[in-house]
Amino acid sequence: MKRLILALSALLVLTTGCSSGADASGSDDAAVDPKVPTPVAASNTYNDDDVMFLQMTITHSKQGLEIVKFGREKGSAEVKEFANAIDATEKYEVEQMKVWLKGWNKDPNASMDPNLHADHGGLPGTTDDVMADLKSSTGEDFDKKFLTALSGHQGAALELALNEEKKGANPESKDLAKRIKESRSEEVSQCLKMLNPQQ
Amino acid sequence: MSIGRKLAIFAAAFGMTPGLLLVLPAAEASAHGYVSSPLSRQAQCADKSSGVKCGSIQFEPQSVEGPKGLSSCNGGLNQFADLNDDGKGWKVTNVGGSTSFTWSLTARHSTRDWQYFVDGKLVKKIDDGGKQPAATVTHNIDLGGFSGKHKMLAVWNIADTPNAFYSCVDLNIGGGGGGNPAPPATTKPEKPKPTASPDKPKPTSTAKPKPNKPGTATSWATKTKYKVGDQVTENGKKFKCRQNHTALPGWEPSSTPALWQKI
Repeated sequence: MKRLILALSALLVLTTGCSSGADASGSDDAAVDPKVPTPVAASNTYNDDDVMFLQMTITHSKQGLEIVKFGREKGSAEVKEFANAIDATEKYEVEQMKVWLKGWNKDPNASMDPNLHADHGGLPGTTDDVMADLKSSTGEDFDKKFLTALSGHQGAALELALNEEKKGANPESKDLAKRIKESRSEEVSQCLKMLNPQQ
Repeated sequence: MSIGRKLAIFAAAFGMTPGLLLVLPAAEASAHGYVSSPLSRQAQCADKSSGVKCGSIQFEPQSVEGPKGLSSCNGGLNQFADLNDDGKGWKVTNVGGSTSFTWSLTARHSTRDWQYFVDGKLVKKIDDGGKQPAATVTHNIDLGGFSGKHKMLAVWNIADTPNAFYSCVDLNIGGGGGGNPAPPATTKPEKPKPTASPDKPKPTSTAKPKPNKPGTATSWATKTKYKVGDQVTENGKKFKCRQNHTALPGWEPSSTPALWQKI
């Protein structure tokens, strides 16, 4: 319990720093294709679970996009196409979630150190050493590591979506959760398929 | 169950519901993981092309968590009882004497050790001494002492909680003497149980290329490979593909403007 309190105080310090941050931070790399229409605001019925779901999913997706970037750059043709499609869909989702939160006057950049959080039962983090491992590996070895890391990461997104389906109140957020549940479980399925080609 | 706690921590951290700080349960494991290669039972549930029908485990193959020391495939969780059913038609993986087992982890909690049991007998234990797992967790296990069909139970024992994660893998161990990793080919189980909904076609494992004449819109369908410029219809609306991809459920054109342009 002591560890938990420590973690919470750390988070509080951390989030005070983060939540006042400018929108531009970190979003440059997550830019959506300018041709894609700007997302529209969600309806005004929502509860705390919707807000938490969106904030946590934004953080989680941003981290996922960093993993996906490696796949887009270094994967086999099949992995690249898969990673590019995930990249496009998730970047749009992030923009959409930010617009919804802003419409509710909630901080779309509420974020935290996922690694710190993961150690204490929170958002599962894909840590720096996983990133370093992806950076240094090549060829088939890379594909295998990438797909393994991605399957874990997307599996965690599913947990957030399942919770939102149960507890959320905002129709748009619940619909997004449904689609995240469908797409992420299918992505995990594709990862497993590619990891076990003979099966 | 950790998601409630995750949210509680999150809420507390953001001062949304400060009262939660007082009712937070003592720290528990939120580490999650399962054997993803060869395909464990829960991985087959999550792999929608496997043809194995499962309950809720299909959405959370990483959540087979129970107290340490269990020998069942479901971690003692009733909602995952599917995993204990030996007659469910699990795919059996052909392996050689020495085989690599890789874990998919959604959170990398400090680890006491990893254990591999074949038919209940401990064949390998890897002591991690409380460290965080490596970036990719792969263990080479010598199965040279076994041949034929066996059920392996892989266990991830967490260091600072009483819990462990469980994964059963169905193996056909062949080739005798160890050392040579055999290509992981698989045999179909002899008698696959009839699935719950025989009317549903079994999902195909590969994407179907869509013969799509330029300018002709076909009805959008999952598992279909779309190329830039392909046109589809969804609920009477027409869309044009912006980016090559294989369609997935949840990626309907009307909700993925990054992949589809409305025309």
